[in-house]
Amino acid sequence: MTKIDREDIQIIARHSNWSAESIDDVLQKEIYSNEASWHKFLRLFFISLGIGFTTAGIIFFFAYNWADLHKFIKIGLIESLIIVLTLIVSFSKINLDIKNILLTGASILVGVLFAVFGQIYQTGANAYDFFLGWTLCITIWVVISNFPPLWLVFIALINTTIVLYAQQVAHSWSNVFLATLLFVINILFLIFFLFGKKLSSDLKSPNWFTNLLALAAVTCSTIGITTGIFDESHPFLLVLIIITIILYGIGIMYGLKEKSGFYLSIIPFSIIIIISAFLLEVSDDAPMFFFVSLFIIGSITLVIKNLINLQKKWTNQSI
Amino acid sequence: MDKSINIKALLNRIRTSEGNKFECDEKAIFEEHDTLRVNKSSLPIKVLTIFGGFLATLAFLGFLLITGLYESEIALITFGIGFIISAILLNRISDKLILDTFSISMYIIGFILLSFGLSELRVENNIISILICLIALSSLFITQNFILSFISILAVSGSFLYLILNNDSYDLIHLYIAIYTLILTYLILNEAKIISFNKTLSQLYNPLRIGLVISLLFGLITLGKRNLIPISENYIWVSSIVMIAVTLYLVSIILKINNIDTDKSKVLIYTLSIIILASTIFSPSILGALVIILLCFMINYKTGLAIGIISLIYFISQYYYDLSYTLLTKSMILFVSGVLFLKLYFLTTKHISAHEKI
Repeated sequence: MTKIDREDIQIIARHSNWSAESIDDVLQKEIYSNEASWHKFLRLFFISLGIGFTTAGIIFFFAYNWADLHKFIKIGLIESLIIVLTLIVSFSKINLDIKNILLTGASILVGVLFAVFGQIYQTGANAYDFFLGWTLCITIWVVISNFPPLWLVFIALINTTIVLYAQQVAHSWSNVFLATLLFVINILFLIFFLFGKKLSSDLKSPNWFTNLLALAAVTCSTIGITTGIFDESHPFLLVLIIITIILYGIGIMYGLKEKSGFYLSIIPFSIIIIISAFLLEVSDDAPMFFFVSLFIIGSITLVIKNLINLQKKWTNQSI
Repeated sequence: MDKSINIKALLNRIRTSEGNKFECDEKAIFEEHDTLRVNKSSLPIKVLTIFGGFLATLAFLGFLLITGLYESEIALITFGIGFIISAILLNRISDKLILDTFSISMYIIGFILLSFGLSELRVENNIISILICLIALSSLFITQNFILSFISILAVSGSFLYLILNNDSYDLIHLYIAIYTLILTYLILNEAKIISFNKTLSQLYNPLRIGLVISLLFGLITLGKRNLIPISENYIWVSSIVMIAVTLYLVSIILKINNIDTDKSKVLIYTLSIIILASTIFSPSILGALVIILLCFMINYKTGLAIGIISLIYFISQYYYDLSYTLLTKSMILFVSGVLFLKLYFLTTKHISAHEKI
């Protein structure tokens, strides 16, 4: 049986006298959720709501008594939760996905533990130490579990640590340098996951994950360059621009090779923003604003036209 | 050509079920199918179009502010109307995807210029928003381009919300929510009827669906976040009643799909549903998110389902956050509802495994 799309049904309905009852019949059988998917949906829906509400209830209960609890109980409670979770992950025979979700939960609890510790002893008041400790403590779990959402938590923690370090300790770092650093780090992770996937099928890196990484990296470079353009004469700006040009070039080639519309849209979009910022820095008179609005429309249209052409080529090749 | 084989198979299948009276314009079908394949608007393209249009609009507004062109009301109104008409005409003449960025920027700028010009002329704000609502509504009949229609629907809902807020008749928000819920439910449950009604409606179906989901969400947010607008607490159940009725109707359909026909299970399921629904009577936004989830899952509409799930999580958290009980009471309520849901889980699992044994 071939797979029927909703669009096919809509197109045929538009150009024929197909009766509504018969369309409804096809929709019910081919498109709409059937009994099996309702079963799956309801089970998932109830179990998520059930677990969500129950744990929220338990957390609220402790939150209510929190101020009165002795510090040993506070820390002990979280530590024992972490131990129980890791024991389950190590020794039980449950589904691997659920184990990974539990380990992600444990990694977040490590952060809670650090926060509580800092609250009691007033030591971890310097937030950057706190995030650095958190990151280091979960590193082994992240590598072993190789679970994309946990990797995402890990990379987000690294980024946060660096930003906080720049704010609290390294006052001499300029915004442009910070953006360059974050851009390079995220790109390194991205390259690791994209090429690691080819070398070994064990490394799981689904598209949503690498796309998110790429988006984060491109956001860093865009913000870095635009702030650099508006803050007069940054010595580091040139370095960032050169790195960006090289990496964007590689990104575009990768997008063309892998037939990924995602890379071919975010990179040009970032370039369009950067050029617009540059144009507005050159002059912020009325004609320039008018020109920029035309430039954005024109360039976006050009990008879309190329994307459509590429899509056409790709679909023709795949047939 | 894998895809056109699909279409041919589907056409043959319809011919067998419909018999001789079935007539179709096969050429037009394949033509439209081909244009769709070539012009297929992937998600990156849609997002690029909307963001690009938005940025261009901002730059253009910067231009207006600097030149002081906004001081001439007549120029604003003329340009506004001109932009709106050209945007619509442009879409009417060509349905090429690449013109989308250009036409939606013109469309949005047109609306901004027109309302700005009219308000400079001291036209009443109510009249301006009614006018915008009418223009957006009539554009739906002229062009059925996806993004333009989507923006028009949001403009219509936006004017309704503005009218409600501007006239301090906050309790009318319940009417807004009730009407949008009913229209959305009708639209989703009667997909077959609507797409076969005529060509215009059939093309409007997709933008209408996403537009209505988001418009309903706007209404729900005004209720879901406490103190966002000063609504009377005494009437908050008005929206809930409509939602509960719709949900119960959906439950009856779900029961049919799942072939549950013994009276005992029906009574049990309805009682449990009514208990759960009644407990949320003072938070219509949670109910609304639930309605969106059920409707979208029923017709397998994934974007809507994702929007529904995210809003359900948001509204539930907001509700408990706003609740003025002590943490202990909150924890009890949450724990009891959690256990109830877990019970439901085991009930459905038991029912399903019993079902599968038969």
